[in-house]
Amino acid sequence: MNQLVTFGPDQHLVGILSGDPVSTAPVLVLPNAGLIPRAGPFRLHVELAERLAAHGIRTFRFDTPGVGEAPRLSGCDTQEATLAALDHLAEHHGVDRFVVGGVCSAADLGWALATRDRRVVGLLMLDGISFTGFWFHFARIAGALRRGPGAWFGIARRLLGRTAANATAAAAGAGRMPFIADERGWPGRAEARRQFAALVRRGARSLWIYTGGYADLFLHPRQFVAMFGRVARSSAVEMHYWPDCDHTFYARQHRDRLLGTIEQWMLTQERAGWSAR
Amino acid sequence: MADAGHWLPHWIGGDGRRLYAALHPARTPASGCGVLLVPPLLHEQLRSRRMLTQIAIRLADAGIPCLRFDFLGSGDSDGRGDHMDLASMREDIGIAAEALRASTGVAEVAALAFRGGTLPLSSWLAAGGDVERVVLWEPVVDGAGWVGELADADAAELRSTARYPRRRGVPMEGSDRQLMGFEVSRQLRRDLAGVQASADAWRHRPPAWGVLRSGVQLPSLPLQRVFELPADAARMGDGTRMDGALFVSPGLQQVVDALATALAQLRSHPQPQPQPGWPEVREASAS
Repeated sequence: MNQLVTFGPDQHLVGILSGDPVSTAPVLVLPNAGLIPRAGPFRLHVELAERLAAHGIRTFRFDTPGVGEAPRLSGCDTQEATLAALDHLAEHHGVDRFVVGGVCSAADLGWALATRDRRVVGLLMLDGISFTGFWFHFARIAGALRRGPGAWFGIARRLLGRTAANATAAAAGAGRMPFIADERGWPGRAEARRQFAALVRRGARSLWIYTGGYADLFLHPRQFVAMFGRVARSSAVEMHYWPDCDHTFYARQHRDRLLGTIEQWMLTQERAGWSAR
Repeated sequence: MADAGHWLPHWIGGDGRRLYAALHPARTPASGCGVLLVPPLLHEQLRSRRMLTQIAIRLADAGIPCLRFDFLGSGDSDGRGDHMDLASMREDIGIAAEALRASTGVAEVAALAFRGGTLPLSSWLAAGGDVERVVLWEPVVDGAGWVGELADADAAELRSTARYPRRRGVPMEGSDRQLMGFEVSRQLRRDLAGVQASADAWRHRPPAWGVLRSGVQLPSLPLQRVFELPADAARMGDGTRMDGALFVSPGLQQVVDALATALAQLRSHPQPQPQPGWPEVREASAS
């Protein structure tokens, strides 16, 4: 069953609540990913809602201000809008636990909400927060070596081009090239590590998937443990690295794999009772 | 109906095939003419979601109530992508046109079809569907040619090293059940490829207007009036990426306003039916 829900400042935001209205399982909240409207990349969110509804699990997909149908709203950014969605679902639909996330910016929202709202008991992190480091550079160099001397000239040219672009930006007064973590509102590496440890400690569950389309930020599965430390090996954390997939899961077979993985993860957590807050 | 401020999201159609729709009531005294927005298809639909919303808001501000909707198996409507074919799309257009008339009481409906939305609209008109006017926004006229272009673009996407940097150019396995990343049925591919939009086939032959790029001619669609798109107007058909969204630019806003003015005047100045051989009246936007 799909239900239209208006919420937020003056009820200007619109979402679709799917699934069993009397379910007590946490609701999976799916904000738009980037500029893609709430139906999701290639209708990923619609299909996910259908799959989970078959198990009675509810999902809520919506457009944040300035995306899809949603107007820009003064004083209501994407985090405030997501919080408004949680508050509305809690007040009007009796929901007291949420799983939040999705692809890219939606994962970022999930992270931001989880760190400030204990009602968030699960995170769906698809190409979410990531920091490069030893394993990233190791994988990059190993990849270059595997490709053989014929490719090295091109790789060197690209690296030099990037260095030159940085220098040009610095000379133009930019100070430094914008870092993706700044654009996406990520905390610094140490803070992220501390936040993640706190989330796991309070029992939050998380599913992480990194794709090959995220090659500027994630290249090796060991990078994950290097980023977050031992807590990344917790039973509350599930991580996959899918180098064959792209960032928005363009191919049908990739979306099927993703949908199946999320469905199983949600069911497994539901059977395990999720967590205490 | 829920209320999202100035427009009303709601479901139309029956159980099991509910269509997502959004009604934009006229915000100034209504003109008597309503606009049914027929969305573009596949990747162009989601990319242009915001633009169509903005166009509907603009028209409603000018006194023209509008209804937007998603075809069955697309957007937020019920159904899987492979549930959609030309027959279901014809049914959807009929449901949406009726919903617009019923909810607003307008005496006339203009169907404003964007790009590939022209193909099901043309098929619906050929099957006897009736509206008082048709406005075609950069219409796709040759269904076979368009489906061929999309199939080529889909194949290129599946071997793109930009999309799949870790596959080193090894193509993903293609499928005739997918087009531009979206699930489609073989039936829909065949259906769309079989449509050549032509006013000759329309049973009731409503007058047609166009919203076109400079210099574009459509021999099979005699247009009574053409609104010319400015150079800065976003191209719905460009690229296959989902991470871009199209907006109403300042230049495009003027085109929409001109269209709204022309539609609002229809009731007070009814225009004669177009005849074969009539010259087109082209109306360039101010830049």
